[in-house]
Amino acid sequence: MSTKIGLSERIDNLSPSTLWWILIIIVFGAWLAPLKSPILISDESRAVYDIVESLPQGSMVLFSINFDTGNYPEAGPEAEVLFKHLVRKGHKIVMLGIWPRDVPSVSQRILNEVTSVLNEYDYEYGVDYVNLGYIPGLEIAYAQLADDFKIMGADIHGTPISQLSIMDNIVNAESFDLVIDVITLNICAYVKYWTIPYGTRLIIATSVHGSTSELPFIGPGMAEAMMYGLRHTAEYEIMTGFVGMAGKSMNVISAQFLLLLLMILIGNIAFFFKKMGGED
Amino acid sequence: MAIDVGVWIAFALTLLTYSYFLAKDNILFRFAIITLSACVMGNVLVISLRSIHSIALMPILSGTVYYVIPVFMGLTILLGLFRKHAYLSRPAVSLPIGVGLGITVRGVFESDIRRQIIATMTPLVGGKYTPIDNLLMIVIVITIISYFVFTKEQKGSWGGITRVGRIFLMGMFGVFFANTAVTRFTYLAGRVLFLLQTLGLM
Repeated sequence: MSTKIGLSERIDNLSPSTLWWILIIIVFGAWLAPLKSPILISDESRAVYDIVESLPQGSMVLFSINFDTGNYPEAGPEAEVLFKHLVRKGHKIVMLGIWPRDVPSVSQRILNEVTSVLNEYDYEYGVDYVNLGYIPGLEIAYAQLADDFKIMGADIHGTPISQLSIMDNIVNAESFDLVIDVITLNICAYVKYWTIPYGTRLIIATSVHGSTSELPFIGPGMAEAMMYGLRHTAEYEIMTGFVGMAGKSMNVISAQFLLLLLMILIGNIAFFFKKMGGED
Repeated sequence: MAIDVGVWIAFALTLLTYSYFLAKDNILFRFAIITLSACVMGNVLVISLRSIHSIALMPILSGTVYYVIPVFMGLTILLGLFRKHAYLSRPAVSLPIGVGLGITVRGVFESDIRRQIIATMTPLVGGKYTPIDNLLMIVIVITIISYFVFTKEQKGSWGGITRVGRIFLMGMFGVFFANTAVTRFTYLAGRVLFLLQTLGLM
C-alpha cells in the first residue's frame, strides 16, 4: 500500500521540466535515428494530387500563402511540395498572401527552397511565376481581388504588373483555373469570395490544427480537396517524388505521440493507485 | 554547420526560449521573448509602411489623385489620440468596419449557413465510411444545436437530448485539443531540426 502511494506521489511531483527534457531528448534522437516508417497514401492527399495532375498544362494558379514564419515547420513543406508539383506540371503561378504580415519572408523562403526545381524547368520570373507579396485589407482584399485583380499595382519587388507578362490576361477570379490556399492562421476566405460567386476551383492546404475549421468547407463541395499536416505532406512527397523533410519527420511525430500516450497512461495509473490508497 | 551569423543568433534565441521549460523562468528567456516581440513589431511596421507606399503613395504620384482622400482619412485616425479632436477619427474608423461587415455578411450567409444546411440534407442510410454516417451526422447536428437553445429549460427528455449534444461537443473539443497537440509537436520537431541543421548534424 505505501509503495503504491509513494509511486503516485513521485509521479504527481514530477517536474514539468523533467518531462520537457525527456521530450527534447526523444525528438533529438528520433531525428538522428535512421528509421523509416511506412507511409500509406490517404484519400485526402491523393485528391489534391489528382486535381493538380489533371489541370491542363499552363493553367493559371493562384498560390496564396497565409501562414507566418512561426507556422513554417508545418505549412512550409506543404507549400514547397505543392509549388514544385505545379512547376513540374508547367502551370503559371501567382503568389500572394493576405493574412500575415511576414508574407515577404515566407514567400521568399519558399522560392529559395524550390529554386532548383525552377531552374530545372526553366521557369522565368514574371513570365511563368510571380510573387505579389502581402496584400493588406483582409476580407476586403479577398473580395476586391475577386472582382478586380488589377488593383495590385506592383509585385513584391515594386515592378508594375503591367511589366509582368504573366499578369496580362488576369482580370478577376475567373481568370484563375485553381486557387491553392496554404493557410494556418484563419479560415479560408476564398470560399466566400471566390469559389461561391465565381466558381473558382479551390484546394486548401492547412495545418492539423486548422483542419477542423476548414473541414466544413469540403463537404458541401465548396473546396474540392484539402490536405493538412506533415503526414499528408509526406504522402504528397512520395506521390510527386520530391522527397523532403516531411517524410523524415514522421518518426519524430510518432515518437512524440508515443511519449504523450505513455505519459497519459502513467498518469492515469498513478491516479488509479492514489484512489485505491484512499487519497482524494 | 551554418556560417551565417543570423542563423547562430536564431540558434541562441531558440535555446534561450526553451530555457524556460527546461529550467525555469530566467532573465535570458525574457530577453529572448522581448527580442521576438520587438522583431515582430519592427516587421509589422516595415510591411505596413511598404503597403502604404505601394498601394497609396505610388498611385497618387502616378496620377490617381483621389487616393488622397483615403490617405487623409487614415491620418485622421491619429486624431483619436487627442481627446478634444477624437470625434474626427470616428468616420475613418467606422468606414472600414462598415465595409468589412457588409462584405463579410454577404459571404458568410452562403458559405457558413446555407451550404452547411444543404450538406446535412443527405439520405439517412449511407455515408463515406459506414452506412450510418449520415444518420450519425444528423443526430450530432440536431443534438448540438439543441444544446444551444437557451430559451427552453434543459430538463426531462429535452435535457436528455441536450446532454447527448454536450457529450458530442466534448468529443469535438477533444479533437480540437488533439489537433492542436499535433501542430505544436510539429513546431517543436521543426525547431529541433533547425538546431540540428545549424550544428551540421543533419
